[in-house]
Amino acid sequence: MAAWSELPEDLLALVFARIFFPVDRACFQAVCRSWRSAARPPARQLPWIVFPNGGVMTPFDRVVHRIASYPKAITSCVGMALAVRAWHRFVSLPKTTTCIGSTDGWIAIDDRVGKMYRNYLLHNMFSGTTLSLPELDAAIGHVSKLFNIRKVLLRSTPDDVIALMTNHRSCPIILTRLGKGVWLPKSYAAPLVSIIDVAFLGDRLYGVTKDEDLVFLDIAFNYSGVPIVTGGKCVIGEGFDHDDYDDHDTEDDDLTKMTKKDMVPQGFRYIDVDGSLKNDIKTMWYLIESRGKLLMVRRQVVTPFEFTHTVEVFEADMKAAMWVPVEAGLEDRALFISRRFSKSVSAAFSTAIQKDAVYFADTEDVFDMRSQTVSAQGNDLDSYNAYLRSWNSRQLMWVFPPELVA
Amino acid sequence: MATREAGKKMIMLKSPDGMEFEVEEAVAMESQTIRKMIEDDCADTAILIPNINSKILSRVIEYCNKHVPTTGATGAAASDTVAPAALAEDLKIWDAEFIKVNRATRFDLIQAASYLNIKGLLDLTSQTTIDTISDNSLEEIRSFLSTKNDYLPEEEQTIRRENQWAFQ
Repeated sequence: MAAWSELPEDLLALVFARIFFPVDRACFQAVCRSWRSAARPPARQLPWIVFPNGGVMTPFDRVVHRIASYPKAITSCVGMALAVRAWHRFVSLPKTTTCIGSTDGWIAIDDRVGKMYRNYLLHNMFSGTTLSLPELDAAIGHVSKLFNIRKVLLRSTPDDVIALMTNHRSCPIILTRLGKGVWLPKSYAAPLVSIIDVAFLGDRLYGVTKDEDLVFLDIAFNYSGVPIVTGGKCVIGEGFDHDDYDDHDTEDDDLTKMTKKDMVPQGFRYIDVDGSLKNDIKTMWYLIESRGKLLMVRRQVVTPFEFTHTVEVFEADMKAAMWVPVEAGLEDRALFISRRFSKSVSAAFSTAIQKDAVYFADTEDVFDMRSQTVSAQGNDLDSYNAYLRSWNSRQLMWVFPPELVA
Repeated sequence: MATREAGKKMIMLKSPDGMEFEVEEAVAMESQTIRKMIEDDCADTAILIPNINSKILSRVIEYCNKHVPTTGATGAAASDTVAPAALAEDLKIWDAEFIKVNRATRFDLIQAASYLNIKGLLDLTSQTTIDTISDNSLEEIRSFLSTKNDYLPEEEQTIRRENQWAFQ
């Protein structure tokens, strides 16, 4: 019987280079010595772009990897660390589920059970671990179909604080902790409505508004270990102050009855030219931690063709209470930006990552901070764009294989 | 264009066990290795393909026959009427059937694909190998690929620790 360990090393290297899923790369190397010596680091590794249905795409190969082996019984086997290999290869979510957020290798899933009930799950796309979030199910599992989650951000591990952004005015920001409980803002909601993006800097949660106010949200734990926002403070700007707002009208708190007036406005603004709003260019803002600093990306996107027009990066100088333009580059890092999750990654992790570049998942273009130019990724934009247009591109999110997570 | 059917250039491929296969030049040129030989004019009468026995060589030719661009094989009309997407889908199904072979054959096929430099066949055989890795435990992979675990126990521990997320 032919022994596969005796295959020539260059052939094994060719096979290794074709492996898409990191977990399979790890297994390949564990088979035997000759297989391990054939393994080369995936030089052109980029983070994944994940679609709401769980489809995975890498920005350069343009192949949408969709392997329909996602188990239907997802809700019945949650909470266990799943060793079943098929889990790693899942990529198409069942029809009732939507991918609603991501942090590093984790995706957050909303599973609609019946018309108005939802279950929330965390799934690690690389280890295959799936965790249910029963506290979140209890708090926001029974909601109107207009209710949407815009962001799910893990502070560190899944058992630590998780911050969510929703589209409902009564709870634009929610905190939860696995096994502990959920904090809904209730009467504090009004000022939180103006926050359009959040990011953790160490243990601390910050938010940014369309007026470019930087807000520090003070997180404490109550007696049962539930994280709560005890106050908010404007670090940059002056528009945000808890005391300025009346208590929230409690009648609006019924999450099962939601109308358009209950919705938090979208996190962009059409640009104002000579006092009149032009609706062909919109400005968007993103908040990202990078090397222990907080960055704000201000970006203008041309609509309806959706491409990035200009990008400016600012660093928060908290002592001087101002945004300082970042002109010297990102210290060999690149920023990966999506509405649902943004991350700063060292270019040393992969030769495919260009340093001092800002990658956008929705328009799939890259801004080079040095040359101050925007370029499209890849070449076959036509077929790709046709595909992308069939999705709501704002729903695309970055997910980071373990090799790219520091 | 009328002479295309009649004017097809044929090439003779020989396996080391003495079998000869007459194939269209276009089919043979699916292999970059053979293409280079033809282009370098080293292929007057017959090309000897070393290390690939007749059984495997006939399978490889079968693959190349299926994958040679359709305009050459069935005339321009076919590619006009069949949508490319449907054609690609058809090929995928054919590939999936083609690769349903025992592991010894698969082992020979992946080496043949590599030696003859046939990208599609190399993709197909590689993916099948990767699928084996994905769908089985480490012990099953080793037994399936007749590969001995030559790691010392402590080395294996280290490897598992390095990639703990993968072996949970």
